[in-house]
Amino acid sequence: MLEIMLDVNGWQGLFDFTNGEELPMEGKPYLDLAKKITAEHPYPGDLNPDTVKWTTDTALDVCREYDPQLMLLSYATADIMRINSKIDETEAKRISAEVISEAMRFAKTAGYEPIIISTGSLRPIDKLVVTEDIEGYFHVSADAYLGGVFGATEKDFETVKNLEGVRTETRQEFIDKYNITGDYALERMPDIVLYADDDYALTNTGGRGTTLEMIHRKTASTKIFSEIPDLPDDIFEFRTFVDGLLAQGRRIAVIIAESVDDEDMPEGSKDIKRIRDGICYAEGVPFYYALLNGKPFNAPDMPFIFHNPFLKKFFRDRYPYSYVKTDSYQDPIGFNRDFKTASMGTRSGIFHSACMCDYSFECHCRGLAESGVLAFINGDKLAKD
Amino acid sequence: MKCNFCEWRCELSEKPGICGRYIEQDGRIVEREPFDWIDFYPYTIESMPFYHALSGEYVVQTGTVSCNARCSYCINSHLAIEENEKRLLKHKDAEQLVKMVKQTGSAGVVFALNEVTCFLPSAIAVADLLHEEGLYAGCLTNGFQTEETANLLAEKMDFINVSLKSLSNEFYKKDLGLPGVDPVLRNIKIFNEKTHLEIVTPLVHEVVDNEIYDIADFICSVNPEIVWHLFRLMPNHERSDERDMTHEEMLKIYETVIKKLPFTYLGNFAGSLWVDTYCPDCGELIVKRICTGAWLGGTVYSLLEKGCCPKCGRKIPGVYMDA
Repeated sequence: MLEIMLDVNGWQGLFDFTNGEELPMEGKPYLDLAKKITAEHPYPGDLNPDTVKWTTDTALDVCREYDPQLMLLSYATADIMRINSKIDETEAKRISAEVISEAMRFAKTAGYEPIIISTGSLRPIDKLVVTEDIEGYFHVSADAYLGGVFGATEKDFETVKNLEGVRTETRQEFIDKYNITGDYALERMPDIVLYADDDYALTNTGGRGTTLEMIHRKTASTKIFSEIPDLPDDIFEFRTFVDGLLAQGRRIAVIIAESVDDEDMPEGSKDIKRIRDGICYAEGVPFYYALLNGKPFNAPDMPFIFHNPFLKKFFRDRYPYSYVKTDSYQDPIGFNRDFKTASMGTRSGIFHSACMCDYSFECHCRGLAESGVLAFINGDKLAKD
Repeated sequence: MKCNFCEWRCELSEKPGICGRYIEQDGRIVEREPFDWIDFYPYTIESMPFYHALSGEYVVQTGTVSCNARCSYCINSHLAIEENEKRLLKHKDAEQLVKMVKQTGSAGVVFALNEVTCFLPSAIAVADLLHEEGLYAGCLTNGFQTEETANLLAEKMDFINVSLKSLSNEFYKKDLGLPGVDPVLRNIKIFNEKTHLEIVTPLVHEVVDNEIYDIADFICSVNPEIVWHLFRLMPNHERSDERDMTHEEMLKIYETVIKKLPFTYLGNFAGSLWVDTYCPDCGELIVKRICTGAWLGGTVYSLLEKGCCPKCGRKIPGVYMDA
């Protein structure tokens, strides 16, 4: 069975990954590793820079105990702290430098060939898109890049044409452009889609009530670093590239260094494209799924902002602890491989869903509210080993 | 003139009082930036938390900025306490907000992101309009209102969740920046008489060590049927370096107090198994809930029939759409 283990304040519980029902923990020796790792590494909290070292130290313990051939790490600290709290440029640089040095420390200590990739540079918000005149329900992605108008009025279709700093598409234009067919996506689609320009941010609802401190740049490429030759040119080619290395029996560490600016990536980093069909894959679900799965955002039926509030399905009866997982997300990079896989990171909710390794560890945070440590466990595979 | 909304009873002029949200104008108390909200979005009512009101429904959660208290562990300090130019208020008058409630299929509005007393006229106007449309209004509060405000809220709100953080005046002074707890205790009695009341108590070390069982006794003396949320606190703001309560400590409290307060819950963390409702008379599991994260959750199923246990018929306190 696929399972979720939670460790909160010293309490541990096991749940069915699919429906969230509580499961017994007895008689499952493969849980020992998850119990030990989560108990020994309580999460310091999203706005604590100690999370960088926490990621490395926890990952090293996972490797000592399990020794996977493929190890995936996600360092989200620089992104979370720069976007949500006022840290100055010096501190941002320090955290970014620490992320890179910790990534190298991990790879060297655990004996992996590292591939480090950033989600790209951040920039301060220059201008906000003024959306006050929109009459329908306006919902915005966490990074203030994409917006959706649900229950749009006739006036809204005119209003959005005159907004500064965005381009827009109607629901039908969006569906046609991306050939969206799945019911899951279709029922969540807004009537109007808005994309903020590079120097603009959408005003958001559903967040913490404040505008962000920084936003992601929507540049054509981000940076990738590795001593492995012939790195891919596009994030959509990354998965195939890594699979090729793994097929040679090499021990690979894929390390996502979120929001480490281009100039703070290691010397020798090269560009890797991250725009497809006019959408910039710069963060969150679209970036992780594209990088680790090789498919565009619509492939896993997860239109990445479109949680239609009219559906009353924010509360999920499937994968309740996994935030963005859908039935249609197939072939995650760490799932049911014929070698050992594990992941560890601070991009809560998204990372384990994107990887689905034998063991996938991460903090459990929603909206900066910390709720311990989560482990996805492929009990079906581990019980056979 | 003196403000009569909360027990600070600030002297108002063109300058506002402690909460910063009211001024005096032409001999009247005037709300600054009425109907300007920090956010509004539909979410499960269990996430507020309300466990015995409209179970399984969605409500539009909203609020403004500022507070009349200064809690050292405030989880919304970026909205309630800290001066922050990034706080972005968005205007929606009562009609627009109620329209959004209807558009999203929500059952009503819960004023939840900061202290409702800091935007009382706007909240009351929205509540009135909701009721005209057959919808519901609820709020979270620290309970530090004047008696007349408490009576007004009790009249206008279908359900209220009071954060009773301590029984100690010293704690209220030192950790909450309020002069004392007495008005809160008085208002809890008012709310209990006149509307549906739930109480939340954040579990911090001083309270757990010194008085958590006294708080239980107080709630029991008011009404043993009151819903009580024992709230796992993630120390924040000035207490962000403090260690969390251990689960063992929290569970011991829960298991002790549920014997006298049968509608006690332990939550605010992913996976909590202590959020279900059992009938106090026959022991039947009648409402199954799930906590998917701090401040997140929902009802998996409810077997209640018009607010009663389906097995023995006992009345379960709450607000029900089918009752």
